[in-house]
Formats: sequence, C-alpha cells, structure tokens
Amino acid sequence: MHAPIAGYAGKIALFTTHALVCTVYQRDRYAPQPNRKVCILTITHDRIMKKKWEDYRAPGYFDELITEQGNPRIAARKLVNHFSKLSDAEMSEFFAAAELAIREMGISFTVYSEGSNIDRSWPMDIIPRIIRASDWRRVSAGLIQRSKALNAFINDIYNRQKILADGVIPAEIVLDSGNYRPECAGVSPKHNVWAHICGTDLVRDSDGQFYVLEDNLRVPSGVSYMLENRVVTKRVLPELFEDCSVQPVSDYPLRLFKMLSSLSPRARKRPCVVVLTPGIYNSAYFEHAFLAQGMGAALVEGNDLFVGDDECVYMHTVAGPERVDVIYRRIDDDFIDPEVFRPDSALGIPGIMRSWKKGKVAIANAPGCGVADDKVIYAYVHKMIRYYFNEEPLTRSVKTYLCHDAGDRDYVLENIAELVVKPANESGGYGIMVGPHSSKAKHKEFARLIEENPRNYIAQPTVALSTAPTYCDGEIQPRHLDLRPFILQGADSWVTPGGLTRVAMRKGSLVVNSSQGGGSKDTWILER
Amino acid sequence: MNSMLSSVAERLYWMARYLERAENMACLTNAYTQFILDVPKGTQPGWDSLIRIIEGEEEFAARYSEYSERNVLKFLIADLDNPGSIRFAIHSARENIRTTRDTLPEQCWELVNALNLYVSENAEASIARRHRFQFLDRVVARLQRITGLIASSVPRDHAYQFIRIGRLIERCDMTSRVVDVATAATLGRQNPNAPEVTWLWTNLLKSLSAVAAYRRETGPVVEGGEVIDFLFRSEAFPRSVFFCLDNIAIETEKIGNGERVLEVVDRSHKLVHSLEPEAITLARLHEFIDRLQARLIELHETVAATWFIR
Repeated sequence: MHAPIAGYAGKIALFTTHALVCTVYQRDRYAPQPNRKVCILTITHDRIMKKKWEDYRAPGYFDELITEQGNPRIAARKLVNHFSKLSDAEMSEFFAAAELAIREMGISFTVYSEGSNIDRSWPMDIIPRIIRASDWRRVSAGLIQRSKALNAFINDIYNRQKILADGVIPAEIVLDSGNYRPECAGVSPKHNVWAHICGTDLVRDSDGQFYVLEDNLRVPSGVSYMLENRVVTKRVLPELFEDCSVQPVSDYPLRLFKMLSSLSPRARKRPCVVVLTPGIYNSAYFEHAFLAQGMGAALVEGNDLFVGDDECVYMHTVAGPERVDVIYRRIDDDFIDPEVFRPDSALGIPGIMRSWKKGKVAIANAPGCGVADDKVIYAYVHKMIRYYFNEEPLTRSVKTYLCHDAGDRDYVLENIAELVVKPANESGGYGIMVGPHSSKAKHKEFARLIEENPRNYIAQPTVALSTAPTYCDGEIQPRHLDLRPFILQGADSWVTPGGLTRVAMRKGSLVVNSSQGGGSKDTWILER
Repeated sequence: MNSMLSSVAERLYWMARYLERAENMACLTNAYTQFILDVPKGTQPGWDSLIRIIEGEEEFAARYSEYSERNVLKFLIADLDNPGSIRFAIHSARENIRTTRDTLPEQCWELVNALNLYVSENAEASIARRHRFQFLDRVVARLQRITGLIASSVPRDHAYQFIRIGRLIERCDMTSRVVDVATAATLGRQNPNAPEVTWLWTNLLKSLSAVAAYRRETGPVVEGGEVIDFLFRSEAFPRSVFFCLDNIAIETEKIGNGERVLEVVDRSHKLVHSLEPEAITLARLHEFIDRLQARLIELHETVAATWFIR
C-alpha cells in the first residue's frame, strides 16, 4: 500500500512544478505580477531549460537544430522538446552521468604534451546533432562517387598515369609531391582499390549545404568515438530514443571486417585479419584496440609480425608462426617497412613491402595512397570524377586557391586577411592560419611562407561553419562543428550513417580537433 | 580460429597474475588487520610481517623510516611506486588488459577500468582502519566479479588457458607466502602454541577463504602443522599448492608443446611431497618455502621461454 501512494504523490508533485514554472515564465515575460518575488523564488528552486532553448539563436550561421526564427527544425522537434522539459539540475546530472560513463568505459585519447603522454577522457556533448535521412542519402551518394574517383586516380598514378598524360592534372604537382611513392609503381591491389577506409571532413556553410573540406586517406581516425558516443547517449538518455528512429551505427566493425576480408589474397572463409598499431603511446591506440575487438582480429605491433622466406607475412603465436592475410595498418607509410622507407623505424616489419607487391598480403590502406590526400589534389577531385566516370560531381567542394598558380597566388596574397591558409600536407589542424581570426603579423608571416614555398600552400574562403546547441557551463550555446563520415571500399562501397561530429568547444572557435580542445557529439540520421 | 599471439598470451598471463595478486593482497591485509584487533596489546606481532611477505623491505626502507601501521598500509594499499601494492597490481592489470581488449569479453575491460578508477580515487583515503575494511571488501568483490565474468564468458581456448596458468602460479606463490608470514610472525617466540598464534593461523585461513574447507577436511582444531599440510597438500582446496600445480599441468597439456613446463611442475610437486609438516621446525619451514619460491620463479621463466619469447 505504501509504495504506490508515494509514487503517485511524487509524480503529481513533479507535474505541478513543471506546469507552474511554465506559467511563471510566461507571466514573467509578458506582464510583471504583484507576486513576482515568490515566482522568482520558485524559478531559482527548480528552473527548467525551456527558456534557454527559446532564447537560443545562432545569427549568421546555419544551425543544425534551430531555425533562424528560433524554432526547432522539424527533425529536431522531439529532441528539443525533450531537452526543454528538463530542469537545470537534471541537465547537469545527465552531463555528469555521461562523463562518468565515458570514464568508466575508458573512452580516452592521448595527448602528447610537455614530453609526456596524457590519457584524457573523451569530451562529448550530450545534445545530439541531427541530420535528415533524405539529406544524408544525397551526401552519401556523393561520398561514394568521390572515393571511387580518388581510388581510380591513385591506381592510375601508380600504373598508366593517363590523367597526367591527358593534361587534366599537371604531372609535377603529383610526381614531385612527397606523398607520391615511386616504390608503389606497378602495383594493382585487389579490386584496384587503394584507399579502403576514407574519412572525409564535411562542413555546412551558411547556405545549409554540405561541403567537403578534405579527404583523409592515410590512416583516418575517429570512428570508434562515433560508435562510443552512441553507446553513451543510449546509456544516459535512453528516453530520447523512444520516439525517434535513429539509424544505428554499431555494425561498423562488422562492415570493416567484411571489407577487409574481401581483400584477402587467399580464398578463406575467415581470413587472418590483423590491426597493426604503433603501440600504446599512439594517440589513437584506444581506437586500434576497439576496432580489433569489434572485428575479433588480433591487435599486433610490428615485432609480432615477420616476413618469411616464402615472402608471406607471419605472426608469432603460441603455436608457432601463422600466416596473415590482411593488415589493417594504423602506421604511416614512412614507418611501415625499414627496408624501403625510414630505415630507423622500429614500428614496422622489414620486407612487408616485398610481400605486398607480390600480392601475398593485403594492406589497408595501401602504401602510397596518400598521394591523393593532399590539399592541392583536393582542388582536382571534381575534374577526376568527370575524367574517369564522365559524371557530374555530387559533392560540393570549397573554392580552393592553389598558391603555385601565379594568378591564384596574387589573389591569396592580396586577400590573405579574409582567407584560410593551409599547408598542403599536414593533418590534425596544425599549421593553419584563419585570416579573420589572426593578427597582421601572422598574415605577414604566412605571406612570406607562401612566397618561399608556393606548392606547399593552398587558401580557401573562410567557411561559416554551421553551429548546434551545445551544453556549456549550464547554458545552451551555439558552437561550430564539422562532420567526419567514413567510407569503406573493397568489393563494395559503404558509408557510415552519419559520422563523427566534432565540436569547437571554445566560443567562436572554428578549430574542432580533439588535440586542440575540441569536443564531439552523437550524430543522428533521422527518418522523419 | 587463429592461434594466439605470443605477446597477447604474455599480457593475459600477467593480467591474471596481477588480478590474483590484488585480490590476495586485499584479503591478506584485511585478515591481518582483523588479527591485530584480536590480539592483546603488547603481544602483537609487528606490521613489518606484511612487508616481508612481499619481500618489500628494501622498497619500504627507501621511502619510510618506521614500520608503523599507517606507513605499512599506505605502502601496501595506495603506493603506486611499490610493485607489491594493491594499487600497482590493479593499475598493471588494467595496462595489460588495455592491450588485449580484443581477446576478452567486452565488459571485462570496463570492469577492470572502473576498478582502477575506484582504487586510484579511494586508496589514499582508505588507509585508516575506519575505511579500510569497506574499501578492501569492495575491491575484493569487484575482483570476484571480474573472475566470475572470465569463468563464465571466456571460451576455453588459449586465452583462458594462459589466464588460468597466470592465476594459478600467482596463487601458489601467494599461498606459500601467507604460510611464510605466519612463520615470520611466530618465529623466535617463546611459545609457538600461544593463543595468539592460533588466532594468527585462523586469520590466515580466513584470508584464503579456507576456514570452512579446512574444517571439512581436517576438523575444527586449528593447529600449525595441520594448516601447513592443508594449504600445501590438499588435493581438493583450490588455493592449495598441490591443487594449483595439478591444474597448471592440466592447462599446460591443453596448450601443447609445454614439456619443459610440465617437468618443472613435476619437480615442484615432488618438493612439496617431501615436506613433513608435523615434524618441521619453523626455521626449516621458512627455508623450505624459499626453495619452493625458487621453483615457482623457474616455473614462470619456463612458461615465458616456451610461449612468450618472440
């Protein structure tokens, strides 16, 4: 008898409070009442987030959840409605619960700073980002087309070099680039695919359209965080999923395994697939272990593998050597084989390039595929699509000025204060200058760098990165974000539903990299 | 099924050893505290016995000047620089599992990681008697949960076999050390049958969760020689040296190509067999345990040479 009564009482009380607070806000806003003092007391006692959501605006930017007029976008209505009903206290409780879950699940990334490695908890905002399924279908078709073109390009470059002979891309841009590996010439990997896993960075400009910012073809990371973000959201806010049908992401490791299996040189039901990591001190080690576990694959370091006299790759096991079919490597080309690339590398496997060239082991992504991961090559992707497939590009690219071109360079030097200048061959957000956010001295410094080494720089107009409501210090505030979906390509092509949304947690900042204080959001592809 | 990587086998083996070590140390610390509470003031053995058990005298002396309760417990529970401490053992287990997540049930990593968080946040504050019991009890409970998960979810393949061998070697080692602490605490006493000595043996049995098993096998009277016989040579008690050695042999046969390991197990077995617990003096017992420890070190080295060397 006792328990049900207590339960009822609690429920009614809760209901009343919510209803009361809503009216209080309305009164508060429209007509001051004589008993205002009392009302304020009630508010501070159990404030809800509703007003914060109503007041939320992100002027000048496309916001992912809220329209310019301040209303939730159709796909985001249920979500915003749910969050509006939470009290301040509940919101901060959920925030703390997510933090605890992340710590207990051990979701971390490693930051190298001041000579030591620090394992940091993964920063995640609890308000998901929503993309309509209809929008996403268009984006993913574009991504598949794009990644097929990039693969056709890499295969062409290391074989016939038709695209250079036909003058579509100037040969010296490709062949003089540090990312072109003459050691890979003449190889045709299975399915003619080189970049099997591609992480493409997308941004949304103020027109609400998605633009490709860059294609990461070497060892793109972040997918494990995409998966873990979903696990955390499901744990902390399971109610959110009640009325929304969110496309699941959890089958990624399985898709990855199937794709990798399709590369195996031996026809086996279950090929021996391994994940090659540089080791525990790598910033993405968490992800390497995560993916190995998800695929039921061995997580190996260089010294676990060796190349036998028959030029096959083997791993040391308790039962003796065992042949490896597919290596998902998370080590840069430079370190993969001391016989061919850096001789001082202790991370790689001597002779692995010989084995790969003979087709006795598959390596994903293939060595040398970084030749297409270059911000200068980026400017030619649409030309590649037209050249190889005779199709119109389905993705949008950001206008790119190539500093090695005299006309472009003059434009860049003249307008450097409005542009974003990027080195052609860096990742992780390093060495970038955002013109409007930089000092005159910085502008001058970059102008000098460009003149010294024009091939190494490109410039783009500053994109007004879209925003999404983000929980910061108890408030709901707009923060800029991007999106990194992952495209798998083996026998078939596949794109993750959504991807990893990275958030610049500092107000006004456009830098989303986790190594530079960025956070993340769970990303929902939502059927209405 | 692919065979297990040597490096992974080694890490699983160490993970299991560290988990077992943490549990044993927590139980032992708890039991010793309980024992000290029972013994009348003035006749208590010192806290230094606990340091001797893990052969941590040198490490201890480098950092502390006095074998006070607080210093000893800080050293054993919370000191991350002491390779014999509970905190170090759990931290090391976590590091080993971090690199072998792919071979274990998903939940395993999370449980060990959460335990490591719990210990690093609470160890320092749990040195005082008031919080010590609850802390150690929780640590043991969480470790048992991990053991349970492993027992019920890890397939009986190489992963399980190396976890088993690591755990059994560690357990064997710890059981012999526990007997040694009793000898350390009673050696040189006028009367080896004084009531506090009986208390000590009872508490040590408790620390190995062995009281009920001892009663069933030997009877209710707790007496030094009988306890030694039970802890070394019981065929049925899972923490006895015999039991551990027998099971190491069983797991070794399952892995294959472990002839040299079996040979060392056999020699250790013979050594324990030759012991005459009823007649032995405490000084000779101590010497015997030293010899057994040397065998266990040889056993570990043979395991490493057989399967872990790359």
